[in-house]
Order: sequence, then structure tokens, then C-alpha cells
Amino acid sequence: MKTEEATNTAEMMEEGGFSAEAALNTAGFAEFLAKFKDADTFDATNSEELKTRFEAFQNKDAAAENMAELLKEELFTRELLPELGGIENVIAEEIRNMAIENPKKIQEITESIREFDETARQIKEMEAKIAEMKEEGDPEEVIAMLQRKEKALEKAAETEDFWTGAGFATGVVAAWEQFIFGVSVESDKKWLEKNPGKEPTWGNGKLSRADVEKFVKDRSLARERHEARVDIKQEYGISPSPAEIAYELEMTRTDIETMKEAVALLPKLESDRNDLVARFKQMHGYLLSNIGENAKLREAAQKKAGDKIKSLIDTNPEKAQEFFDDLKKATAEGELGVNFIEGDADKIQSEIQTKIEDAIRKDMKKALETTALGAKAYDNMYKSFEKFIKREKAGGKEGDAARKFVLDTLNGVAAEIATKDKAKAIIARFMAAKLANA
Amino acid sequence: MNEFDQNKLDALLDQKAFAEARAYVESYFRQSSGPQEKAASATDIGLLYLKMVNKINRRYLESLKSTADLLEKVQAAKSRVNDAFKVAKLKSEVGGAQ
Repeated sequence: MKTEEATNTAEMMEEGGFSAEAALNTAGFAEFLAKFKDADTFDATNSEELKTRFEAFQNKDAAAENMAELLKEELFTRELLPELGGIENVIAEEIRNMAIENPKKIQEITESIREFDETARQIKEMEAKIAEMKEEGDPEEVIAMLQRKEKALEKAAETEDFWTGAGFATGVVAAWEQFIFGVSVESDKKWLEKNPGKEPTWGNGKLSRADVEKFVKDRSLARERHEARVDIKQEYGISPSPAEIAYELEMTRTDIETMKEAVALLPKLESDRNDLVARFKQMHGYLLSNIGENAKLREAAQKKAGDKIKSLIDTNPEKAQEFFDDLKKATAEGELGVNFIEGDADKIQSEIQTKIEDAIRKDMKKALETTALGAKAYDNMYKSFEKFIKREKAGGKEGDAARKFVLDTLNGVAAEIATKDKAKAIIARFMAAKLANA
Repeated sequence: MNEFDQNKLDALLDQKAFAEARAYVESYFRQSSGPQEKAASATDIGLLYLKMVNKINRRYLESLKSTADLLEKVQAAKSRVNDAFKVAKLKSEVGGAQ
């Protein structure tokens, strides 16, 4: 929408405050003032009122064009246009007149349109930014990354006494033991695995199995700790000093908490936005779209939808149900702007339901009568009834309600055929019993 | 022509009485006679529409800003890990300097 003139006015105000002289020097403004009812007595030294009128003068054309465009594009249907004699011109003229009758209204329109444009621009920018950021970093992925770092730091933290005590003893001393005495962790480990419960044959009987197990455990731990220290240095550039490890660990845990909060909040924010979109649809659909449309047109649309349902109920009740469901959904979501089934919904559903249930009952009875029992009587009967048994929907009934209807109908047709064909009745009742217990 | 009662409409919307709200807006429009009056009521409805959309858009934008803030934190945390890794790699490439 056009906001240049409004912006110019705003700049003029901002630069040096409102200037009555500058306003009265603006071509056409004096003539505009002359059209006001109080033109004979108007005191142009009343700076506040002069400013309001000047703003209305400056913004009226843009407000008129923008409002006419908005009404045409967003709110009114073409059916209304002849009634208004060409909406753009009449509305635009009305708003220009309004600048004289009610200059503050022009200000209201101008500010609302400016906000409308500005928020639309900001929303577009923000959505693009978010889409880009979502591609760059998924919080779940970042959490996994941080948790790996946390684990490495925790492992490294266990060696924070490395240079002063146990770390040195288990790390460096172990390396020297291995280098000088040829004691090998790997070979001892393999020996322990291959010889469960046995005592070592080396060490002149002074070395027990427990000593070897302790040696392997200590050396393995030392190796893990050494690797963890190398990891945090190589992977994360963290020097393995106790202070730095502690600091990094705290920072990493804080980051993990922040990411977890983000993971919890992001879907909620998205859901809030979806609610707002739904609210807009409701407002636009239910409240404002096609306002003023001839009531007869709406009635005609309702009648047309009603006629279509009635015709389908007689020819294809299942299709009637589908059409009715679509209408209900579209109406509920505000997509139609008109409630086509207002007031009649229960009656229509009841008619469709009766037709569908009658049709199913008739088909099931026919299936029972025409199925030949033969050698595999139950299998043959089951095949004939499979499409009914597997039904998840029967008209407006769904899931358990649909299955109950099929079961009741099966028992009903079994009772009906019992006088003519007891064998079929027995199998049908058996099938119904199995279905009831399924 | 009667003035449009914004408070009445807001109350109906708060109660989610959309059918009644629509009926009220339509009756306001229909009571105007002649193109000029209809244009005046159409302008009022246009203004009403703008105010409602702006209100929704403001909340929508706030939600987007909150989302962007959260995602910026995600990016910052990711960068902290990745940047440290890059520095560590660079150091090892130039000779293992601390």
C-alpha cells in the first residue's frame, strides 16, 4: 500500500516540529480548509487542530486508495460491486470527504494501514530469518553435540588430579611399567578372558589373579582418561587444566539446559501462531468475508448445497456422507465464509445415516442369501462378509460404533434367515460371536 | 444510520459467537442506504478489519521474535562448539601451539 505521503508528513513533523507556515504554504491546503463547516470562524493559530487537518489533507488520497483496494481485495465479493456502483470510486470519494467531516478518521486509517504494511513486512522478514536459522541448527542436534562434549569433559574431569596424585600414578607410571618391564595390558586382559578363574603362572607365585585384574583395570582406566584429555584438547580446544575443564563443563551444562528449554518452547510458539492463523481465518471467514453479499445469494448457495446432499442421499448415500463431512469441515475452518448446513446439520446427518444403514443391511442380507456354503462353509461365509466386518465407518458412525452396527446387523440378518436356512444362521451367528470377542 | 458499536462486536468475538458477530456486522452494513452511506459503512468495516488484523499480526510477530531469539541461542551454542573445534584444528595444523 502507498504510504509515501504519510511518511513525508511524518518527516516534516519530526525534523522541526509542525510548522503552520509550511503547512499553509502547501498548495491546495488553504482551499481544503475552506471546505470545513467552520471555515468562516476557524482560527489557524490553533496549531493542534491545524496539524490534524493538515495530516488529513496530506494523507487522504493514499488512505482513500489503500482502503478501497483493501476492501476490494480482502473483504467484498464482486456481487457487491454493482450495488456500490464501483467500490473503488465511491469509497475513495467517501474517504476524501471524510477528511473534511472527520479528519481524525483519516489519521486512524493512515496509521492502521501503515501498521498493516509494516507488520506484514516484518513478519515476512522474520519468517525468512527463522527458516534460515532452522536449517542451520536443529536444537535436538545441538543438544546431542553438547552432550558429547559434556561426556568428554566429565571423563577428563576425573583426571583433574593427574599431575598431583592418582592420575600420575595410573597414567605415566603405567606407561613406564609397560616400557621398561614389558608388562602388557592387552596380553594380560586376553589371558584373563581365556583363563577364567585361573591363577597366573608367572611371577613366582607372588602375583595373584586379583593383582592381574587390578593391574588391567587401573591401566585401562588410565588409558581412557588419557584419551579423554587428548579428546577435549583436539576436539574442543580445551586445555586439560582442572579450572578450565570445570568452567567448560558448567558452560556446556548451561547450554544444554537452554537448548532443552528451546526444544520445549519452539513447538508451543508454533502452535500459538497456528492458533492465530486459525483465528484470522475464522474472523475473515465467519465475520468479514463477503459482507453485504446479497442474502438471497447465500440462501441460494445453502439451497444448492442442500439439494446436492438430498440428491446424493437417494442415489449414493456414502457419497452424500463424504460431501456432508467436507462441508462440515470447511465450514468449521471458516473456509467458506458461509455456513451451508446451519440449522439442518442433525437432520441431514440423520437422513444420511438411515439410508446408509438400510443399504448395508440390505447388502448383508443379500450376501447371506447368495453365499453357497460348500466344503468350506465358514471360510466362504467369511469371504462374503469380509468387506462389512472390516468397515471402520458406517455413515456418521466410526470405529467401535461402526463395528457395533455391523455386528448387530449381522445378528439381525442371521435371525431373519433362520426360518429358511438354519445352517447359514448357525455360521452367521458364529461369525458374529467371533467378531464380538475380537 | 446508527454508529458501529465496536465494544459489542469485541464482546461477541470474546464469546466466540461468530455467527452473531457476523450478523451484527452485516446488519450494520445493510442498514445503510445509498452508495454513499454504504461506502461509509464499508470504510468502517475496512478499518475494523485492519485493527483486528493488526492485533493478530502483532501477536504473531511477537511469537516469531521469541522463536528467533531461541534459535539464535541454539546457533550461539552450536557456534561455541564448532568455533572451538576449528581453533583446535588450526592449532594442530600449525604445529600444536597452545
